[in-house]
Amino acid sequence: MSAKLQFSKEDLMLHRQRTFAAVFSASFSLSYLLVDIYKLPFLSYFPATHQIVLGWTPSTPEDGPAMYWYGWIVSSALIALSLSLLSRMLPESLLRRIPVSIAWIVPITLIPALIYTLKFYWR
Amino acid sequence: MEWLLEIFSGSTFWTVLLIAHGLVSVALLGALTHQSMALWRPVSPINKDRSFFEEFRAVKAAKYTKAISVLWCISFLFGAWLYTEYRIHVRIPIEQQEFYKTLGAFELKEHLVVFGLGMLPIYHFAWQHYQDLNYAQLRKYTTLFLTVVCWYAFLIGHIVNNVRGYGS
Repeated sequence: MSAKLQFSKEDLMLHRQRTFAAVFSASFSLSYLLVDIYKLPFLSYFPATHQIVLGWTPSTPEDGPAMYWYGWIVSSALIALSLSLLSRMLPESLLRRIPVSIAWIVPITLIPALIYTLKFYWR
Repeated sequence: MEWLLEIFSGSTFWTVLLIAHGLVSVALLGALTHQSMALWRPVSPINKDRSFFEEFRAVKAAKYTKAISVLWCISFLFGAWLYTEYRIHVRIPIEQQEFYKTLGAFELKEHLVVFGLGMLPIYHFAWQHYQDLNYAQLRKYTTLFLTVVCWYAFLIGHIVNNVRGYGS
């Protein structure tokens, strides 16, 4: 009986770990694309002046070009971490329903959308 | 940052960092290619008379996982650091020369390596349980994704480095 209980606990731990990592991968890529499209970087960095401003800030002639890539990474990491932590708290029945394949299917299906967001360059 | 620039002149520092980024990427590329080949086209352990290509695939794929995860992170950090210099001193001249497709391919690389970074925890998990057949598909596709992205990033990095001619 105790051996069976121990196995079940281990199995549950494994499922939680697996779901955390799978949800992180899927939500990180999805939120990265969304924060790019909707201009929601956590910060904007101006490499010419080494200035960091919270949120999205446009490039200016004084400060030079703004970089949002770092901000997108921070925003999407925070969103993905929150969702992955939430997924760890799901009841076992729901946990088992989350397919681990979302970890690679979601990023791959988002690639055409990523290419589309760069349409400015394809001329 | 300031103390580093005091030791090296500005351009020497960025050149050293670019070379280090390139070397780490070569190691990552090799490790990922070995692992992918071993996973997708495994070699029979019975066959001892192996060709060069079979020997290339006859590695213990799971042993590469930690190294790949660490190398991906190091390469990512070096690349992220170089990106600031790229934005000012590389991208603007390339824009002026209207090599837009090259810039687009580079921006796509930046996006894809971020996707790869987010995939590392599940990739690591899949390989931690490499004897578990339930995760065979997960191992295959996460490894393949990272390998393809790494090759793409490596090649596009070279193209951007060379687009304006050697030493420009």
